[in-house]
Amino acid sequence: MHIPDGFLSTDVALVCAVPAVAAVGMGLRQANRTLDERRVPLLGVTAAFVFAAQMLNFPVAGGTSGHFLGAALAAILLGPWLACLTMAVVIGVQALVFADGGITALGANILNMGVIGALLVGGLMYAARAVAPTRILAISAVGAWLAVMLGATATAFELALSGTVPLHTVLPAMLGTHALIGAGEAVITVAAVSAVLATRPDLLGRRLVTA
Amino acid sequence: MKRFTLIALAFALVLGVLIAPHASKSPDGLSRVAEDQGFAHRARTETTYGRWAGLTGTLLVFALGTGIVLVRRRA
Repeated sequence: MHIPDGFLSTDVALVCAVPAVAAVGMGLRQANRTLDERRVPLLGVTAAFVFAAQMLNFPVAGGTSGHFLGAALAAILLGPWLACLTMAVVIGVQALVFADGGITALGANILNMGVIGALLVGGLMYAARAVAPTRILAISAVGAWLAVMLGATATAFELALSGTVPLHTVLPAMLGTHALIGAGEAVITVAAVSAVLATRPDLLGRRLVTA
Repeated sequence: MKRFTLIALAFALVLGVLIAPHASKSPDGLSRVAEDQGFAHRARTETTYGRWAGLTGTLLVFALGTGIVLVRRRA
């Protein structure tokens, strides 16, 4: 879902950069107090897994592929703001080192693939803390799918507002393909959260309380 | 945490180095929509993932992520 340079107008790119920068700023503020000594490497490890997993495009219908985004997983492991920071590290390296996603579109890409999903799933986690901690796998599945769909929606609106393509054609097309890609996101997120639950449940237990 | 970190990082490297070359080469969701709806030609950049991007990129984001946290904790 990486937007290359050339798809967005300058205005839209700038407007998208504002929430992206703000969310990364919140993540930087939290980085020094939320993570205790033992959890310091968690952000780097999450970024590493998200980067590698994003390379694994899987086929969906009709000569199209999709790939993992990771914002939902990052939000479950790290909370919403540190997840925004994690996703910005991944998407920033993709854009600046591998030209995957445009430089001018960097804010939009961090917003669409990072901030939106991270805040959505962070919010779901927060709401669920009062319900039942065992709901974490359900949140992983539903949150991951919704994160992809909301990100695709935002992308469609940005393209339409940029005058690149009309909303009434791009929005249904984006939602159609990403409904399937979101299912892949849900499967990978549930698998990753299950793996953490099986090996290091303490990493998730506290998050449920403090998210 | 050290053990978890090493295992998770090793797993990410396996994904990036050994599995990534076998990933689908089809256009992703947005690229496909751009082709179908006739604005793909507006893209001014092409990705530059080489054979070892899964190694270098994964290690780079790990180092950056960990480095940012360490620097911020000192602040």
